[in-house]
Amino acid sequence: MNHPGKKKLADTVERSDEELVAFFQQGDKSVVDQLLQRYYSRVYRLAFGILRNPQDAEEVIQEVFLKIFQKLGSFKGESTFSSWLYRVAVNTTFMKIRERRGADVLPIESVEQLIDEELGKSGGSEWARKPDDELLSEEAIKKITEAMEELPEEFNMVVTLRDIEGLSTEEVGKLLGLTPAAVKSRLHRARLFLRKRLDDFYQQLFEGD
Amino acid sequence: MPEVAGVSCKELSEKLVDFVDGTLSPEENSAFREHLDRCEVCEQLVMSYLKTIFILKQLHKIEPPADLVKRLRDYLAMQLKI
Repeated sequence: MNHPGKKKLADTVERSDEELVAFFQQGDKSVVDQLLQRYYSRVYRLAFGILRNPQDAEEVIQEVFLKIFQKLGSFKGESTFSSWLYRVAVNTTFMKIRERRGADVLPIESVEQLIDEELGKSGGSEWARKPDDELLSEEAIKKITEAMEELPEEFNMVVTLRDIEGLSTEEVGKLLGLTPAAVKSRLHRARLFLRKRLDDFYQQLFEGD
Repeated sequence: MPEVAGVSCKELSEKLVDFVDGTLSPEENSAFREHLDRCEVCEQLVMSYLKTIFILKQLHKIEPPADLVKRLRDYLAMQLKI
């Protein structure tokens, strides 16, 4: 893919996504590498964040970029390149989830009820008064990662896109086919669920303080 | 739950996403802040909610395996014949 000595115009300066897409469409395939470098970490984090399995995440990332570059020639730019890439990544990740789950899918209402029941058991949150550096530890990261794994994928996806990847409510809604109100509702429940898990963890950690 | 500053604890919890995003109206925002000054339960909820988001954001720092991009390049080069 990289040909030393054959430096193309698109390699020489930092180009916008739109410019790189235009170069690709004019036949300069060297931009594949630049787009890959720019986005592979984000796609990996999204897929791994949801699937929690490196092999599945790698299969997803391969499939996503293959689809993207197979179709980039006819990409008309109706959305930005990054939105299109995210949409393909989200859809491919969901396909992988369905493949894994088979017919064993809980209706979303049951999932919401399960989360609400869990939240009913909430305790105190004195720990939240501690400074950030006392709260941040490898253990805490492990705990929240495990809690993310407990979340159903529909909730995990919203939290990943919104809180970890930093997309807006509207962007997440467009990607997942949800209204902004539905995005906020899932986000809120998911955050409360994660907070409950951190409550349990920190209460035990700071017991006796 | 009783109302504090014209906002109930339930209402505060339901609008936390907007509060955190800063998308409440200025009037709602000041009512929320007044509620939080006077209601310890909600104050703890909001503080722990914000810390949860803060810890969650640390997951952004997860990096893919070092050799992933090379495998990906090789895979695409083979599939796309480039």
